[in-house]
Amino acid sequence: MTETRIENLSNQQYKKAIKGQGLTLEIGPFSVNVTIKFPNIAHEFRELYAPYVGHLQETIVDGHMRVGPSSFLRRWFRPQVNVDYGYPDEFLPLGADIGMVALEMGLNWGVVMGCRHYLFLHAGVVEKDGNIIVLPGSSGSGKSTLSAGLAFAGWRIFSDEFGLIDVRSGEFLPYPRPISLKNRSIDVMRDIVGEKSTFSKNYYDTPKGTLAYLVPPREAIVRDQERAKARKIIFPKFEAGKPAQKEALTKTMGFFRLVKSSANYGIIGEDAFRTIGRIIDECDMFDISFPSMEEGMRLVNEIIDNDEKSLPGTITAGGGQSD
Amino acid sequence: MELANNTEKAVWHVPGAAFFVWQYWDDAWILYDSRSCHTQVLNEFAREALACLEDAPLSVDGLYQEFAQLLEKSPSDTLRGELVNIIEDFDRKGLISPL
Repeated sequence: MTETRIENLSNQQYKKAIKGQGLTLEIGPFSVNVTIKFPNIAHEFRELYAPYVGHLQETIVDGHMRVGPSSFLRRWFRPQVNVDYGYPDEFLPLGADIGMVALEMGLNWGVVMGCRHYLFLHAGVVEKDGNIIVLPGSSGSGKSTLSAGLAFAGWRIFSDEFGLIDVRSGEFLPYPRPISLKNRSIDVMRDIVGEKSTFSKNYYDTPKGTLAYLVPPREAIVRDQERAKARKIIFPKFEAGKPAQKEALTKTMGFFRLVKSSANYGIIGEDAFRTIGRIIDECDMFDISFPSMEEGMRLVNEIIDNDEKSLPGTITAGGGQSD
Repeated sequence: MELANNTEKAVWHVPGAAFFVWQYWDDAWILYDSRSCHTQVLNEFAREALACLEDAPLSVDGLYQEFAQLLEKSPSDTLRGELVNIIEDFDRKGLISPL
């Protein structure tokens, strides 16, 4: 099938597909058939996903996502959006003005629930020269902002929150969805990115505060089938007002941290244990804490440029020497 | 007290050794039990105790003798107490069973 990008579809083609039989969005290893019943969300989706592959014909898909009103009346009266991915969920319907947030959460949910053949880490992933840095972290750790900063500073972003691993090869798979930015990181990235890429509008009063989405650099989207292996695992922690610091981790500590960051370790079982074991064998691991994105990026680049190793007990602060 | 008595009376073995997958880093053994899908971490002492029980079923006394020989130490109450604790821990985690 010819590869069509959403930006190349005519208005008529796009509207007919998105309102009717669905548009098949293809990113990395996943394809999802999407229908959207609200015109404003369909418009925002098109702006954000313009450079991505979208098929008008339904191919073999991993799931169907229906974005529509939460009830018949809610289409017009205080419009409310419900996202149906076919999996049971406990999402509350959101107002149509922040419906794009519901759509993005629905896509995330589909990956988490449907991902039975890839090991999935809650992590940002970036690549340079064939080597990957994995940035595992929970919500609020700064991993998305740090991934976004690196994505616009010479690194190819695989994802800001989905570390997908093929358990047969141990390779990471790109899944470069729009980057989810929260609160203060939105302005930080707007200053850095400027006109180089597309931002969504700001979505206020969402369950996660103010959100905005940033389209990754085009190269990351176009190369979404090019896998690579991890070399460093860096656990980021944003800490305002504290000095930048990095600390090498032991392999055992790194192993359990990665297990904790995996959403489907228990489901995949022995293959997940062996895969994480292989990654730990091949990677050096660090904790970093940083008061700003610039400091976080500096620490990451320092670890890579100096090819620093997993040695327990080596702590450096503010770019100083090892203790 | 009753639990400790039962632990000391029983002969213990490792029925699921074939289902164990191991990783070793930093003087720690990571065990994945594919029957339960549980992941455990064992230090060298615990790994050696489990290895002894994998080789042959043993009571606490038997394990105590093996360890005294391995460590080339004279038997002590401390060592014996540590082994009782480890066997109770293995039992709680479903790694060993009484014969």
